[in-house]
Amino acid sequence: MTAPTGDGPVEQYLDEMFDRLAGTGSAGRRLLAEAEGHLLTAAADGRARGLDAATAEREAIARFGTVTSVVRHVPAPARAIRAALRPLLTGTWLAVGLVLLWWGGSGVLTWLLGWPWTRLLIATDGFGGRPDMCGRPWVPPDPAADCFTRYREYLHLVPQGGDRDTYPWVAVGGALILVAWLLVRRTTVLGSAAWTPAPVVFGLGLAVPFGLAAPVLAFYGISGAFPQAQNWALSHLTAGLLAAVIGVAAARHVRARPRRT
Amino acid sequence: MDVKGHLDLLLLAVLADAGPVHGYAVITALRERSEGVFDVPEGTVYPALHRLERAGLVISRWEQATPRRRRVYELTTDGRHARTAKQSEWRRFVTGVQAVIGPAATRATA
Repeated sequence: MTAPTGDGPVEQYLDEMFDRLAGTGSAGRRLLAEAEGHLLTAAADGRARGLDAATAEREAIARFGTVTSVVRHVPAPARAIRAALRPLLTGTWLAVGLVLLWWGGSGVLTWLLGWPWTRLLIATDGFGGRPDMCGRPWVPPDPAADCFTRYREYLHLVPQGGDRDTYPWVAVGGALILVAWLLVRRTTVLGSAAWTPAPVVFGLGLAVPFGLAAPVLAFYGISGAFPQAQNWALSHLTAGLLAAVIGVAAARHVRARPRRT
Repeated sequence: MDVKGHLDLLLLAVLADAGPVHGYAVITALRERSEGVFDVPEGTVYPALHRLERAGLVISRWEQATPRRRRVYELTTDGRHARTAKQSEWRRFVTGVQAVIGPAATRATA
């Protein structure tokens, strides 16, 4: 008597093992076959010792070990690893393009907003914190530049004031990377579902870092604007705002349906 | 007792003595010959046998003669050499440990 008991513990155990071995190829199929033979033999031995069928099966399973402890010893085949790396590669491609576009784009946006921001600062005397911004001693005499130009040129265009001249090229580089992705996915296998990152993974991979960066940058931007406006406040506000937009868009992407092949 | 790190030697030793044998018998022999000391989760023995086979120390085949299809394992020539080498290594290890802990310690724990 070695037949399984239908919906008994061994059958349920093998069902769980089957699910957990998905993607392991021939190594998984072989282990499943051997596990079935082993458990049925062990259960038959238990019944021969006088145990009832269910108890014999539970004892056989207890001796065999949990599904997790057994399955983790099965190596994933190389093709499974390659399959996992494909969406990782394309996801990295997209993420790099997006990060570059965000960083360079925030610099471009800050440069554009620099005009009204500087005029507002001068009109309100640094939001009321610095009387007579265009008078001495705040602005040294310079016949080549007026007060507005000197303040605007002094603004940081990206957070921390770095990358003052190259940010447009960073933005262009990011945009080109994303455009290249759009072209490639239309014309090659990279557009297939096998190469497309799962919406949940990709969405969370962007939503979490951008979602965390947004309030931090915005906080620094706001704290830099009051009571005396600092030259780095606008760049932090802009970068934080763009990060929030990307974070929200990525969070919405989490709920998107995966593409079918 | 945790046999992690020593399972390969134990399996090679059982297979060397038992000849062509299926996994269930290997596990039973392991338990009986150790008098229950090595009570490993039986399911982990199969991946270990597969690993030995990938290393070329064991070969296997499906046996259809029994009521249920079973995989039969057997040592290769390399497996026999590996068993001898690992066995010698283990004996040196035991001798070294024994020399360090000494007979007094052995008596104290007895």
